[in-house]
Amino acid sequence: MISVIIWICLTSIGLTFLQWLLLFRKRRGTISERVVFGVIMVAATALNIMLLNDWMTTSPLIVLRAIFGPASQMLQHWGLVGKE
Amino acid sequence: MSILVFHFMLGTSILIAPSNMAFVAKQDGWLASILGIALMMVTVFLYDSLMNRYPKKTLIEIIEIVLGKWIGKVIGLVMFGYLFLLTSFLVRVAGSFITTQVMPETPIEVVHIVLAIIVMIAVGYGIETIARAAELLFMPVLFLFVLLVIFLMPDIHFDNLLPIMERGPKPIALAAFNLFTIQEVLVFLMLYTNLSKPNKFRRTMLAGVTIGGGAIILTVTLCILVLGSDLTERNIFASYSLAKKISVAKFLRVDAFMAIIWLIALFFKTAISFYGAAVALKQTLSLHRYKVLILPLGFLMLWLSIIVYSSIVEFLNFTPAIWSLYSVCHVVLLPILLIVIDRIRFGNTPGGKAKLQSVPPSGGTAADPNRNANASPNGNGSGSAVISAPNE
Repeated sequence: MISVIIWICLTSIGLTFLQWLLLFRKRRGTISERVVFGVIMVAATALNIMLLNDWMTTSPLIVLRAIFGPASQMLQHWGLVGKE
Repeated sequence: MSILVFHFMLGTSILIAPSNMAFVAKQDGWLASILGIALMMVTVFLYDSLMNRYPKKTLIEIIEIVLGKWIGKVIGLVMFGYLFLLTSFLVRVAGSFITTQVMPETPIEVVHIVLAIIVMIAVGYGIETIARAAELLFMPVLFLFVLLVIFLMPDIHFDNLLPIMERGPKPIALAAFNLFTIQEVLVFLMLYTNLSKPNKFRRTMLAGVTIGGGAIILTVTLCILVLGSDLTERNIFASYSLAKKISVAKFLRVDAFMAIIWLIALFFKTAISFYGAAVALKQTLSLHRYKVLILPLGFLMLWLSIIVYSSIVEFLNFTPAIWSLYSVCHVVLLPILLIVIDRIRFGNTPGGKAKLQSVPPSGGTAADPNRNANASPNGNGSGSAVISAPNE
């Protein structure tokens, strides 16, 4: 478990360095660019750690299922119920 | 752009659509595919009428102009979520295909990482590079597809299409709707500002939809003609199973042709969706460069592509049922809403003069050395809309 966390953190640091090398070094990014980059990187690192340690296995699609589930059932029933 | 649309449409449909068509419409799946492609052509006219009102704007910018700044940003984030989810789905479908059909002992994460790296590099180089690569790979893909069709000719049984419309029109309509909603060509509205000839948008989109749609119709029809509707609906990757039936001199792996066609098309669909998602987020958050978002979004995409569904069976249940409705909200309802609200708010003056003057033009700064609105990478002067000037 610890090794997974370390590997993901190392990957995150590596990607940050790559970003600096490719983009922020040549043309210094604006504050908003750096903030957005930081927020997404932190979120991605945290989520990947949670995923690979099985701390969070619920798919975000559960929201879509809740919203569109009843309508989709009605649509499937309308389309699929016919003579065999 | 037509070539990009062709690759985009083949991305998932060529492998997944036949089994869903056969499941819902049985032997009438070929009719459903024709109807689904016809529906797509209608939506191209819808997009054209929206983009004609704002010829120098992407979809996200139009949303902000029409709906106002803050509601526009919320809808922009929703659109980004849709495109990003689509990209993750595509990566996951590629991983599922590779690990179930080609390399079953390879961890799916490895496939995702490899595909994500390639997509990030492609998007980093820009949409013009992606378009040029699509142009280069168009003829080989078309050639392989034609070879596939020719090799399958001896195994065709026309009886598999009978009886026509046995279960009535409703299953055909539902299957057509499912096919229509997995095309997602709305993404090309994010590429609108990169076109060298935006006035040719409708023509190039229709050309791409026609060629891509023709390939999909042919694939679905061939699956039913050769395998029959029963086998087609039971095979997750029916067209790949179709290719396995071909034997040339007892040694040539023709199913590899189908895998190559599909992986190339899937790569382009993933790259264009990822580009659209990065540009959508860039414009929603008012950033200067979309390239800043490539690496973090790619890292996030790795997580989402794993967690998005637990197995291919869940994906096959989810896509026609839930994704179709979610997708139709973005590809049909949103453009219609934008057109209606735009007409009500601004009448015949798109966006109102004051609004248009205050919103800066998209597509990089005026001093951007890469900006060349009339660039034509292949010297094509025939009037087709050519992708150019990456949207930095």
